[in-house]
Amino acid sequence: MKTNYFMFLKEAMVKLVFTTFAIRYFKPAFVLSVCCTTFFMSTSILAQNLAVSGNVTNDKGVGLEGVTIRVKGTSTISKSDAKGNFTIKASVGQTLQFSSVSYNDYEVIVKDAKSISVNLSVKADEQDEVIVVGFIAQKRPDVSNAVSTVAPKNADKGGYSNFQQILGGRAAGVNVMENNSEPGGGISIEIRGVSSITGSTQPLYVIDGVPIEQPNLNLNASVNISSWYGNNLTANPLSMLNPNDIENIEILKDAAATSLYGSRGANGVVVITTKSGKVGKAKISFNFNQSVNNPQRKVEMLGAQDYANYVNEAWNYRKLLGLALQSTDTPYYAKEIPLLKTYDHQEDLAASAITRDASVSISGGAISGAKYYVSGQYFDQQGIIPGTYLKRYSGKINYEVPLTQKLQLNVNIGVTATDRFGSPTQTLVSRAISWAPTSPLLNPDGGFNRISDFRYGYGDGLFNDPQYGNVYYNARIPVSLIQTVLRNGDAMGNSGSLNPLLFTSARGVRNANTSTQILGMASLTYKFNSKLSLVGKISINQFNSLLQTYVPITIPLVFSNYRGEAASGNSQNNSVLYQLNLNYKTKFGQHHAFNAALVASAEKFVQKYQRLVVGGFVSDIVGYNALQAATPQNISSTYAANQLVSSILQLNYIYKGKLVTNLATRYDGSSKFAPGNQFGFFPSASIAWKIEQEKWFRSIKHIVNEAKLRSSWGLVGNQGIGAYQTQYTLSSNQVVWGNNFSQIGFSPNRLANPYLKWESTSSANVALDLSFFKSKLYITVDAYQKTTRDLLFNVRTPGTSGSSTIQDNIATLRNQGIEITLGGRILNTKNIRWDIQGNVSFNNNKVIKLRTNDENDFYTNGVIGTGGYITRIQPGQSLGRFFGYKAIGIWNDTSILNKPLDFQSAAREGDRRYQDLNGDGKLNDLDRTWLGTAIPTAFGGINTTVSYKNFELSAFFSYALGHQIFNYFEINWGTMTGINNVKKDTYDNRYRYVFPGTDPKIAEEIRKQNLNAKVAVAGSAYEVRESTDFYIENGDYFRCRDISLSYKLPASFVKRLHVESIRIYGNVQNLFIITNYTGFNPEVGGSANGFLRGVDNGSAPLAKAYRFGFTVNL
Amino acid sequence: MKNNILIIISFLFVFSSCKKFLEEIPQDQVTNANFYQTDNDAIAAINGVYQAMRFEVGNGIPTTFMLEQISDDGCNSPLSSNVQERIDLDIMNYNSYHTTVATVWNNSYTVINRANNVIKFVTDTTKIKDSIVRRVQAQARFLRAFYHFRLVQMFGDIPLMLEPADVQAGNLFPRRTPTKVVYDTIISDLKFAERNLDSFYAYSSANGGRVTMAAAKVLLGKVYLTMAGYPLNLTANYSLAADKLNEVIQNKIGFNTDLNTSYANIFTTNVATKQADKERIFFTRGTSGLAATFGAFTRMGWSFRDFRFTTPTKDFATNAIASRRVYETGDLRRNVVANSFDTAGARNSLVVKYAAGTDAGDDFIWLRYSDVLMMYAEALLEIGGTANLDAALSLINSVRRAHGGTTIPLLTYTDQADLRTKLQQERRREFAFECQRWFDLKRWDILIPSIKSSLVFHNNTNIAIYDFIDKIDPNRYKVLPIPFQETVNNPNITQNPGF
Repeated sequence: MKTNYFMFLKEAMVKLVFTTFAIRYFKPAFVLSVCCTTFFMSTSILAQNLAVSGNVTNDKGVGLEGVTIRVKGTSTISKSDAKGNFTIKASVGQTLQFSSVSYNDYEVIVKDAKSISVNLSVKADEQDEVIVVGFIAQKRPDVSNAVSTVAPKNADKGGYSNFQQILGGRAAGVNVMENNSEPGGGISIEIRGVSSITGSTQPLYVIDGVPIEQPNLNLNASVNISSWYGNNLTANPLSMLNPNDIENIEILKDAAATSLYGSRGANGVVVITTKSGKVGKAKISFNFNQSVNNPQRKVEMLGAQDYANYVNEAWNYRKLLGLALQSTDTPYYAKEIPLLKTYDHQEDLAASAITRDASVSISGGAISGAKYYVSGQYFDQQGIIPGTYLKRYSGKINYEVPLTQKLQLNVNIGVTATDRFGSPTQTLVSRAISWAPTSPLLNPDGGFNRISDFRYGYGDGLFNDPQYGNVYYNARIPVSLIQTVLRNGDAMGNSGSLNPLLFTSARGVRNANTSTQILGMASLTYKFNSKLSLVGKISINQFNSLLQTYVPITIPLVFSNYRGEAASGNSQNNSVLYQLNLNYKTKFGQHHAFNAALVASAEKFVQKYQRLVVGGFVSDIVGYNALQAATPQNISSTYAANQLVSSILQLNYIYKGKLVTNLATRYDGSSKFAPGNQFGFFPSASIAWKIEQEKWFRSIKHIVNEAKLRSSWGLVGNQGIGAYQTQYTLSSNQVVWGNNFSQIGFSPNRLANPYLKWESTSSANVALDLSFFKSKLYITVDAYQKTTRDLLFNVRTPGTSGSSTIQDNIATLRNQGIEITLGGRILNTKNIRWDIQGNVSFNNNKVIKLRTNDENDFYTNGVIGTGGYITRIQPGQSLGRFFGYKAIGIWNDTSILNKPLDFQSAAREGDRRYQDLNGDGKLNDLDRTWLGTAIPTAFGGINTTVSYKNFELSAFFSYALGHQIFNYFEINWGTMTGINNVKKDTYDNRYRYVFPGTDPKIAEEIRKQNLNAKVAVAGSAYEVRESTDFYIENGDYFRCRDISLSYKLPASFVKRLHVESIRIYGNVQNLFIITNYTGFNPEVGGSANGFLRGVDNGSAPLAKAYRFGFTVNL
Repeated sequence: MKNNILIIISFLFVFSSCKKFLEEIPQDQVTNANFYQTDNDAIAAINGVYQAMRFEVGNGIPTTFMLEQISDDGCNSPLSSNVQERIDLDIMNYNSYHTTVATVWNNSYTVINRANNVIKFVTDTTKIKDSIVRRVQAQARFLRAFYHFRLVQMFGDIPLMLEPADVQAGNLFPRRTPTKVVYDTIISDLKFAERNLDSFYAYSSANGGRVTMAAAKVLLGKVYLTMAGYPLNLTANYSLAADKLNEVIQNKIGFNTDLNTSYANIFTTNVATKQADKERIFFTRGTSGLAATFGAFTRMGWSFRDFRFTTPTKDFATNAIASRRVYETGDLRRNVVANSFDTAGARNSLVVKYAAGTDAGDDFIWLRYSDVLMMYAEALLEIGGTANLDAALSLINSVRRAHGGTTIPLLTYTDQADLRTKLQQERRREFAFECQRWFDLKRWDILIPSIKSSLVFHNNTNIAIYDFIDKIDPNRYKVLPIPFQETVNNPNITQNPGF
């Protein structure tokens, strides 16, 4: 039965969708023709033969000054005087429109020349909040979907570098993870859990009605750069948005709302509306703030003396056991140790950084009805890591003008340019931390310390190397050895030293990213009559980004025999949207309100990318600005395009103002899929019952003033695959014949799957909204279940296919959860107001099926160690779970004797001990088990505002509970191999080897301590890079994101300055965090997809920012 | 109202439909549909097959791990980090989960799949020159046979892949094919290759490094010889092998191949010296100085020297016990192969045959002329009869003289078994660390005893410790396990006994 309806709807939608193709051709023609016809239709101007006079008052009968009175559809206007009196010329039958900033508009039809009395009602605050769900604007109380709104007021207090920071923790079910503090760095947002395994888990952003695709920058410019820089520079395209321009952010969470965005709505939709002007005199607002950023956390590392002891301990251990040694001589002599000085490299790297933000906006509206909002921003954020910065210049114009009585033009244009200088923060901080504390990063003469590795000591010895300049060294080490190491690396294959400053701009490494974004939208609205209107819209989004990197000659490259490498990567992402909306709005009788929208749209996305890597510069002067000064090493370019056509039908029906129903269907066709599977159908329905409207409810209305029951169901898609995945493609490679003749080869690069189709998520939502005591207390509870089927997944294929995977719609994933928002106005007196709101979300995620629902059908990610991996997904388990060996302390002098020979066969006394889970005397895959989960079971935020007279204090906290973090940072740098500094905690928990000749009493003491040892012996030669619970830590946190205090200068004072208002404010971001996590930032959260997450690669610490600023309104 | 409906309807139908909007053809990649049209396309397609072979000798180097460490010649270096997986190969403790086993399997089938694409699609003789189609087909079938041959020796019955993998063709989950059938297909592929390949390419020519008629004949000889040994034991094939190998020897001038009188020069990175060498019959060209992205490196030296993943076992490198010495005093090959033969055995010994490091100009040689002579000798030896044994002896001695030098004595023999032992020892000396040893031991069916002996000697530990070698199945480790993931991903495949 259900299918029959669907079939019918589908048929209808197919017809509609084809009409959209034509939009592509109508671009200019359509706009022009609509313009012309409407002009003709509206040229007849009626005579104005009556002088109508009257009086405008407010609901208390007081005359209102400055109310605009306008003869509807004409340019005839007038204004009321100080007592509210007015006169205007009009003819009988024409309509007078009354408008004023803080009052509701009012219309009255002229019947005769008699005086007209008009009573305007004050605009209500909350009651009239309008929510745009899809293509129909609805009043907040009438909304039947799960929608969270983040009030713009929150953003105003300002100083956020991007709007995602505004969102963090403020809306239930929205998990924001700020996992890169670098200017312009990535922020991850997940709405109601993770609903894709390999595709993106990020929501769709819709700015002023235009869906914005996150451009795939793919700017990983150079192999060498990326091996140091960790992940490539993924600029965050939404960081291009000036947060001051945002009027409103709505987060659509359930499928009934998101299905209106069809094939892209599965991860939720964030709808952003920018500010527009209001009729009235120009308002000029100027905002400036400046902040100082400091790193929020430090990690406690060893000081010089402890470090020297540990290094010697490692050296002695290795020498005793005949293992390879880092040097032939004891690294530190006993007499040297007390003289060593400690250098704190975290201090060296983390200077305070300043952010400046200046913005200005001018908005207003002419009496004719034209409204404008113009803004500009200059934003300059210095990174905590020296030399990193983000500069953003943005400008925006929103313009709205009635061309005729029936035709209105809207133009929104936003232009942003960013200039960003990045640094390899991914490894920079971790390298600095593990750098010997006995050596400074900079020499006393200010030069760059090249040999601060312990093996060669740091000291007063000095020689001038022709290539590397002044080199300070420990005089007991021969200069010749140091010179050899500088050039060729040491006997262990360690290539020179890795002073972290080597990778900063101060040392000539350059990493510049310049981007421009143009987001333009123009629409024409034609009102056939009061019920029916047609909107034609064209929008263009252009995002260009250039990443240029340079590694100077002084830095040896990995696997290259040339020095000096420059790379230039350029990415252009263009998208065009054509859309036609037909809106119909009517009322039948008294009780039936009906709203419908019919939409057809077509979108085209083109992505181009070019990259050039050259190497072998002879001088560092030109770098990436003259690539021709070196030899090409790698050249590539790509082109990818895809198209999407859609038709949407949305119906909204309200019965007696108490029963609200919404029906919507969307039909999407995407070129990413092969013919036959290109179209997807996404229906949804929702219903809300406003119980408080019922007669029988009135008796308790003084207690419960709002009670709404909501329920919805819908189907949403995700087309998160690259273009061309359904086609059998070949990619090029190179082979070498004869005397270095290189030739091009072509070979199949993937196993194509022509059967690919949409991922589809069906989701059901049940919710209750309650308000008590005239809205003094309110609670919203949402419960949902989302099941994603046909998940695109890279299914492993047998090796016999010549490929390792094939993409297929095969997996099923389920998310279910509860979201609770509780808030209230605790105090509300004349002078003091205190509001508090908190939310909590519980989400449970489960993989129902991968290729099969057999638990042996598991997939792994994050390869590490000896055939191990960090995460594993399998049917029956949630995503983001860690997998590996259980560490059970250390093999000590007695337990080692009972170790089976081929169990950890290379392990010695003092090495990490793993648990033999299946007791077979071997350590292999069968001994790995679940170790923790990266996805929090509960998260949310609390925010509160207290205002007293002109002061306002607000605070905002966010938290996440019930999850773990895999501290990969520690696996890389925190182990006691004897060549890098370690955390104090690591040192304190180490296993200590009892060397021959140790005083028996001391030996006894050491053995006793060893029983509690958690860290392998210093100098251990046993492979430590295993996925084990030793590296897994509790990731729970409670963070104070923001505390701000603002003061509005007294009106009497401000008046003398001839301005409207002045507000000064100060705030602190990330003031404190409560967590047991030992790394820098527990918000390591999301990677691009749902598979590998919760792994901390040692990213930079989040900044604590102290900000001061002011806003002036003229 | 009426008007409204009219407007809506006209909105729906005023525009014509156009399905073309959703048609999107890749512009930065070629597809099966628009490629394979010209001579150059055909050549590029076959080049792509060779490119996949580089996975074996480039960065990952599964070949050395898998084939040397599980033989009695190579072991895990004590300087290499103590990675359990590497140790597991060394001490024969590996199982089906082992990643190198999977890498060897997957790499081989990648080459086979690419070859199958060429065989299927490079067929249009109306667009591509007939001679090119034949030559490209012949190269593809050689390479397909080459990898089927390696796989069938390593894994026993294997899925025989003769069509490109394709969801629509439904061949993603093949069954295992009996060893004999696999061999028959290999022979027919090689016979086709032998007929259609060019007889030789000069090393420095634009085709230097492609397979030739000589390579096809030598490989065919090797296939016959292998079939005659364990496990098929089709002894009739010894004479087929002898005939085929003799064809190459008889026409060595035509095939431009011969013994190189300097053993060291065979493995040199010096381009001029390499060009003069006729010893190479089938090899992967090493390059130096080209961009890393060419993937042109043959990083054998990287594994054996720079990163020292694999070093000689004590069994191979000991000097202390005269009866265990591999090389006689004065054998010129000794110091070309490894840098140290000492009383301590393997600890400080490195393989120096592949001299270049990370950016390597080493060629990796799959088939060379002394192998032709040695295989011919082996075939004659096994056919038996005094004349054949004498002929075999003189072939062995010719290699020994040319490569071992003049200071070591020529071999003599007492009977067939004695000559067989001497031939086996000579092969070990001649082809050390060329990834031949494991296949040789297996063909001679002395794999398990040799490994046991080496393990005991190398680690100075009683063999009882290594009871897993024959605890479960006496044939365990005579074939590699089917990779665990393969058994999970392909419901139609079965595991080898003991794993």
